[in-house]
Amino acid sequence: MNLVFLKLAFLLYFVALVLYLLVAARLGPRRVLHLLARLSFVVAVGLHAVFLGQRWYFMGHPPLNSMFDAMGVTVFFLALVTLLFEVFTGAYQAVPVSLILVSIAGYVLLYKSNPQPVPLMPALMSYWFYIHVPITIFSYAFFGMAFMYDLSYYLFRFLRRSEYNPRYTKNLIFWGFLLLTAGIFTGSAWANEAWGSYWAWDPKEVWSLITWSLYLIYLHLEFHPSLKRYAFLMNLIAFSSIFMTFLGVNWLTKIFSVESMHTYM
Amino acid sequence: MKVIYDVLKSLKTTVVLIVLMIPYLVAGTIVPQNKTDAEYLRVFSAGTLKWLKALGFTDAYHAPIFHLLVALFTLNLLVCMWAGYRYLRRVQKEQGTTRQVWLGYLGIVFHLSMLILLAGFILTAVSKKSGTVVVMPGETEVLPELPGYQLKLYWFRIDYMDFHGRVTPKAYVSDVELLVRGRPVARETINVNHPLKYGDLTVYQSSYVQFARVAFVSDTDTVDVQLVRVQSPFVLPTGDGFLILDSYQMGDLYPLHGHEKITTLPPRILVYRFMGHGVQPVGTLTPDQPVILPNGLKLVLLEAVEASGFQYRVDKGVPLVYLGGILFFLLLLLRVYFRAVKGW
Repeated sequence: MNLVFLKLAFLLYFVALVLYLLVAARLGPRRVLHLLARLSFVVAVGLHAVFLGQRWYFMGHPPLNSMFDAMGVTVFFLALVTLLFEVFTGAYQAVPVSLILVSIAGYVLLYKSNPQPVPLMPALMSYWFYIHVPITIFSYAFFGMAFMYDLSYYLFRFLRRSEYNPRYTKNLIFWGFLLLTAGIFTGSAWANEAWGSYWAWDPKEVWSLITWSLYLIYLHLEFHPSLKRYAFLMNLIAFSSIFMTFLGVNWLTKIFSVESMHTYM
Repeated sequence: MKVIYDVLKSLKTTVVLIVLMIPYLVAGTIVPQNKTDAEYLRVFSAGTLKWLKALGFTDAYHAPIFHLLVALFTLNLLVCMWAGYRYLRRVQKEQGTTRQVWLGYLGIVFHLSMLILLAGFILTAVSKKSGTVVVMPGETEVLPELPGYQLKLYWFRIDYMDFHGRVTPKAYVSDVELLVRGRPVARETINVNHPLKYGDLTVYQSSYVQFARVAFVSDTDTVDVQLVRVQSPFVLPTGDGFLILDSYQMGDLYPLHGHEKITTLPPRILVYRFMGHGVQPVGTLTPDQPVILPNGLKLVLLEAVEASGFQYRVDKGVPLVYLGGILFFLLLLLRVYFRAVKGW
């Protein structure tokens, strides 16, 4: 299966990244550059969506069951949330930071991953596959955007050119938390239906619980004035935990020979 | 008493308890669980193993310290809810039922749903009975953990699909009947994501085991007939060596898109000589094609048989977990709506 649409999408993500950086640095005609940046970004997201649709049809199921596909969808959701975030809030400073992550992921996807389509095993042939996996990945996109927004504030604060609204971070984390909760519950319901156990202490489940607990702490920080100042640190730790949940479980199974039902090929 | 109450109603206590629970959660994913000392000593030094055992990291999710932390967390949650309720009652008396008071009560019910979830987990832990059973087609097996219960398998089949030239399993399907004290109570065709449910009991399709009924034929006579499990070495009837049969694909083949059957795959079984340290191919066995063995005997495939593996489980905690989970999610949805959308 050819990857033309994906390659074009990542090329345009990169073009958008360069243009957004120029806008953030206030170099060149700002309005024109911003318009071009957003246009590239929209087209890139559109091409990425076309690629995912094409791959879905080719494989006969949503492209979510290999590392290549799951990562591709995660990047797509992050790009989509970033685009929507910029459109609704106008906080464009966060966009290049997010697009750096998207571009790195694009490089890994195109040059370091195996794009070989993987058939769906019978255990995954369930309507829960269409609900549980995308919801969970979508939550990562919200958490990712929340971290990128905080990070962009610290990066651009150094340049003294950034406005920051902590409510944006909190709201993104609220949505992410809601989706991750839904992801964990739907995963439990699915496991109960397919394997007879809603919780099996599988490493992926446990790391999802750790991530969930860390964001739970984050959401409670505002109630305690002395803890509030640790918000960014907590956001950083919780976001790192997502990496562990998403990618780390594969390493755990290799390094520590821990068994998991959630390892990607 | 007041000091204990103050500590237990503190949000800082909640944070500390969660932070203390996390190392146990992490340990369970990086330290191999419930292994023997000899196995641990291959990975860790004796000193490290001593610490891991003392902290309970070798069985992290059943460690007394972890259970104590969960119990304290539950207590902390209860006391926080009680303190919050008392505070809200006071505010309600002073200021009436304001939006903040209403949201506060919602928050208490929200935390109550977590307690329902925890109650469900405990009920699961005390009520759970589970086991596995493998049944041959046409036979009935007892469910060892559940006296009086039996499972009959009428048939089992594997459907395959053509995934761009690669034949892969599409579905594992079993027609089963549950019997209680010899009386049939439920019959259903189940597959991986569609179990059989009867009261608190659920029977899941979980695995399969392949067998082959083979005959050893000499020039004049049938020497022996055996039911052989694939991938398990078995001795030749002449006693001069071992054979091993590879797993096979047998069933209907479907296209990736659509439900029209393409063909039926007959069993094609690769036969190897088992040498102890390795294997040597001997031939391919099919219903029409015997394999000539090195000792001159002919190996004939009489029948390929697939037994179905089931997992069964009784769990009285599931309804509470579902109730708690749904309540938690709906109240979280409301909270997100009020906080993130309405900005309250």
